[in-house]
Amino acid sequence: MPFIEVKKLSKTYQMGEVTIKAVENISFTIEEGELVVVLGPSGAGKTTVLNILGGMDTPTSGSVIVDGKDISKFNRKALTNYRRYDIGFVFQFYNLVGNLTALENVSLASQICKHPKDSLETLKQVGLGDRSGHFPAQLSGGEQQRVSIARALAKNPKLLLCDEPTGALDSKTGRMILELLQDTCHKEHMTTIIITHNAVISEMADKVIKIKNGMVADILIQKNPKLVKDIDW
Amino acid sequence: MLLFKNSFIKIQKSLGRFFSLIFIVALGSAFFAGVRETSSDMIRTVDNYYDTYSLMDYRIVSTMGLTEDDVLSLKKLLHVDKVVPGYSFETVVNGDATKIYGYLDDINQVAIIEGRELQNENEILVERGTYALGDTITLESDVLDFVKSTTYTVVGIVDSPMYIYENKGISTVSDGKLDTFMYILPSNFTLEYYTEVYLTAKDSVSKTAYQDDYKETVSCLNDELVELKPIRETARYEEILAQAMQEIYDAEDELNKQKQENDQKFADAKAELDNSEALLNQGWADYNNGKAILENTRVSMEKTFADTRSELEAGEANLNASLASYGISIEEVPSMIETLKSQVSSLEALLATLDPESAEYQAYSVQLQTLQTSVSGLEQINEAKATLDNGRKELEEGEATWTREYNASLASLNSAYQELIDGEAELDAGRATYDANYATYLAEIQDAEQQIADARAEVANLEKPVWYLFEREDIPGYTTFYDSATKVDSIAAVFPIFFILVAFLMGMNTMTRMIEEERGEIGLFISLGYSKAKIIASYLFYVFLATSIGLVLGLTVGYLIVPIIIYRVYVSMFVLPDLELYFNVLMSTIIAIVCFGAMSLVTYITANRNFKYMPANLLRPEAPKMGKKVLLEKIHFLWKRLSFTWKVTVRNLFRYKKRIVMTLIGISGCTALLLTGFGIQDSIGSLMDKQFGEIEAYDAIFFLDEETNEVGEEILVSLNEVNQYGILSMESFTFNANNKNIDLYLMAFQDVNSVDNFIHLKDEQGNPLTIDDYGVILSSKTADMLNVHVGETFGIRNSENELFVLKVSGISENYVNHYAYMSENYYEQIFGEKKYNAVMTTMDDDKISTIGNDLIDSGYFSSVQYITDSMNMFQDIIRSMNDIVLLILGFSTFLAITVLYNLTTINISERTREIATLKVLGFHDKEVSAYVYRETLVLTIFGILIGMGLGVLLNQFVMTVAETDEILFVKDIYGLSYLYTFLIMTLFTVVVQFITYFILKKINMIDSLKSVE
Repeated sequence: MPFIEVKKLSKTYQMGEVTIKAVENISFTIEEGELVVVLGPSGAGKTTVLNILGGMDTPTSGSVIVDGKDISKFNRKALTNYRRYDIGFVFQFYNLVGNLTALENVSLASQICKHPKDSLETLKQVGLGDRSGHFPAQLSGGEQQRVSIARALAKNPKLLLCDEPTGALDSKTGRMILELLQDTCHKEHMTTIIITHNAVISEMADKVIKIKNGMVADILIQKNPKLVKDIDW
Repeated sequence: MLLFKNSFIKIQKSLGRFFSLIFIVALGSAFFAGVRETSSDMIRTVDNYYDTYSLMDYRIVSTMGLTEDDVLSLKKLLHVDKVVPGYSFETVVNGDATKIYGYLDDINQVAIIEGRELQNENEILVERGTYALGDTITLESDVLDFVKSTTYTVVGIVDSPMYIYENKGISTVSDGKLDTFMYILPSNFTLEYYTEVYLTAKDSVSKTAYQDDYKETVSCLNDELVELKPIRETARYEEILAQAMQEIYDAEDELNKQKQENDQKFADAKAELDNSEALLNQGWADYNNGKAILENTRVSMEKTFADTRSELEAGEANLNASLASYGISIEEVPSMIETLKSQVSSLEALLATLDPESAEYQAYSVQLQTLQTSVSGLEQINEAKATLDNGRKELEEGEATWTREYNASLASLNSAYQELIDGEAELDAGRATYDANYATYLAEIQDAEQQIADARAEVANLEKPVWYLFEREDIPGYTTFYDSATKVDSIAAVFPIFFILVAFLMGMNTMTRMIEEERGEIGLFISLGYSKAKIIASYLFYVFLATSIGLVLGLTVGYLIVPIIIYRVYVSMFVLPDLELYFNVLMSTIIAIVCFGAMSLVTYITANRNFKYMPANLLRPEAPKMGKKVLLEKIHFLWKRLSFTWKVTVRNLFRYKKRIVMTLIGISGCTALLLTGFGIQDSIGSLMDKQFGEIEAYDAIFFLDEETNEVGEEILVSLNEVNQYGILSMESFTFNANNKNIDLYLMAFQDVNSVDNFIHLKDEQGNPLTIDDYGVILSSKTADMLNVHVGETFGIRNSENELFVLKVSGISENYVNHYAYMSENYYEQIFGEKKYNAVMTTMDDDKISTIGNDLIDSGYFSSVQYITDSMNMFQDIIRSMNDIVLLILGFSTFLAITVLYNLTTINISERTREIATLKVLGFHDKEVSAYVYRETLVLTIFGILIGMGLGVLLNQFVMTVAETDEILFVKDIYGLSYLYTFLIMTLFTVVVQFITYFILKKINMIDSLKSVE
């Protein structure tokens, strides 16, 4: 049984009289410890999939089974708990709390978890051990994103979801972030899903799910994914 | 145009923000405009009232009345407009000290509330709330000295601009406090002089009362009056003096004339009496003389008769002797004679025949001769007998005649005697009458002379008449009203500015937030090529719309409702017409300009700030403010103990300083207002409790029907139903403080030891005070106003303006009215005599009205003053104060909710991303709320604490301002009020948090996070 099983997932938004189909009839599976890249152009519906997977949104139809539980049936509270205990998020714009130091940002997440990792250790893991006392505004974009990753990892989640984690970064910094994600995934056997519109990134994935117009266009399994440093940008 | 359409859509989308903006502007402008205008409205209202009923500017009263000459000279003054002489007097009507005026058509007119004006001399106008139309007013008969009649029918019920205050000033009758006033036609009065003259100054009608230009206008007249005063006083003095002297001279002349006439009359009477006496004496002399003569006559007559009788008896003896010699009895004589004669004749005839020489003859002759001798002897006897008989007869006749005459004389003498005795009695009576009359007359003369002497002395001591010049400020309540109005102004200086300040802060905050939220949109518009001006205009349009609606609402409420509420509170003790509302266009314009100006300035500055950035920058979210370590972090052991959410809270608190200030001002302001509202109630409530519960323990004061030096046994007996009674003198006086004449009640107790049964006199520390014979115990506020301390002296004046100086021997806790308590001994020392006019009593609560009515019915008491009446009066004040409290509470509630809501929503909207992040991280709704609330909560608690402090100050300020001359407020706020304030503020906070909980819940993670994708 796969770790994640998405079956016939559809999501429609009702905007007044217009019905927008964000995703339609999507199905795929993800194994535990896999690094998956969801690839697609803007507006293809990949973020919607991610949001649903992350428990931030609910599907209109279909089921999403994560670690044996169908989260599409979850109520508000169960979803919150799901986010709280099972999911780590990394956003394009980091979404750090500006008023907390790097360490505190990490702790903010870890303090509400059942089995968190040590915040400082996690920071060190992402290479920011010496900057733990800095505020987000005092950190560069890459550093901020690393704090954001550390925040996600410190929760010790079952699933790491990254929405365009390099979108706001230059390519060099972006690679460092992707390297960090790949390392983490491999070392810690952390199931990681990265959303991107950048096809190059997909080379690092164990599995690539291509989405177009709200539907799965192709699922590509790469037995030997490239290491980030080996990817030719 | 699209931009404006956009504005409308914005309004629709953020109705909460739009309405909170409207509300803020409305609240601020309503309070500001309303409270500011109230004072002018109040003054305008009374000024119109004064002008409509031609209230005088000056009133002149003279100790000796005013004359036509006075009026004429007043009319000649340069600055005078109307000079109207009039009459008035004071009397007691049904136990009320009442002033009765002759109604004047052209000055001090009355507002007829019910009924009609005076038409006949038997009609009367009465004060509102005293009598009903058709009632009959009967005055005591001693008023007939002033007026023609004592019975009048009520035809009209009126208000007078002369009596605008509940307290009508002092009176010369009854307990010294004027209770009511009435008007009758001036033609009713029979006085020879006017009792007063009313004046108005030229041009004073066009000036607003109380204002400087009014004061300046009337001061010209005042100067003239002050100048004229001594002249007229002297003139009147001389007039009265001349009149009095003339009267004295006339009296003296009359006396002299009377004296002359009467002296003559008495002299005549005396002469007559003397004459009568002389006559009487003469009568006595005559009488005695007559009596003597008669006696003499009687003696001589009796002697004569005796002589005659003895002669006759001698003759008879002779005769009898002769007879005896003849041997015959007298009766035989004539026959003897006849016999003898016949013998003679026979002898002669014999002889004739005989020779004469014959012896015979001879013998015969001798015989004849013997015969003849016998005859002649007999004849002689006979003759003698006749003579004797005759003599006896004469004697007897004489004696009878004499006896008759004598008796007649005697009778006449006796009647003369009687006459004389009568005459003497008459004379004596006459003399007695004369003496009595004369004595009376002399006494009368002396009396008259004494009177004249007295009159002379009086004239010599004649005091100059004094003119008392009264101005409007002497009208009871005239100044108090102005004070009330200016008090509103002082409140107006504090509260509204606070409201406006909060309103601006909130407006600024709202607009700043709005523009910051929409920076992306602004960037978009700029990049689309819209001009700055147009973009700003779209925001200005939004602000102007909100401000306009807010202003219309606020100014309407402010000018039409707020003044009425405040006026109701302040005039609860006045009798005045309804408030004339005024929509102050100028002030409205200023408020509008300020509001629009401030709002557009805020909008402009905030919007303009965004133009500095390039559109691309604007399209991205504003960089989060740099996080900063706060001071608290330096205290490691504390900081370590804080949870992360608390750390964030602390950091956030210090990050948004503007919001701290805003929140603190808002919350503390509302708290202060709430606490003040409760504090006002506490102050009045405790005033009631303290004054009528702790200090004044008596139930009623009964005023004796007449003043007395000794309260009679029968009156004391009539009091047997009451629990305790104390006899006292209670009179009204005035003292001068802050240039105002303020009423003071003087109570002089017969028995100072019983005072504690009725009034608990305590000093500030709560120690009981006792009244001594060397000074008065003065109520605390009075001492305060007079600035006197124990051992110092102060002056009070009675209604005749006489000054009395009293010494303070103690200062007692007191909250309502001004009192001076003293012993009757000290009273005697000050006023020269002891007297009583009232009885203070305590009774069982359920019997008060029964006993009270019985006592009034007994006729010994003219009126009664129940403590419950005073309490009710204060309850009225409290009721009206409650309106202000409600006003404050209402405004504060609105303000508090608006401020809290506004702040929280801004707080949320500023941090949507942060909140969304927390949600994504798996924070539960409650945790998210707590994360946001905690800041508000901390600020609210700090705000409440600061507000409590401010509230204490504000309450003190408000109570000081609201305090009238007669009332001392307790400025304590009860613990419960702090609790209520705290609870209410907490409730507001909770309500607002409850609302924001749902706002927070609605925040969509996905939308919030992707907004800048």
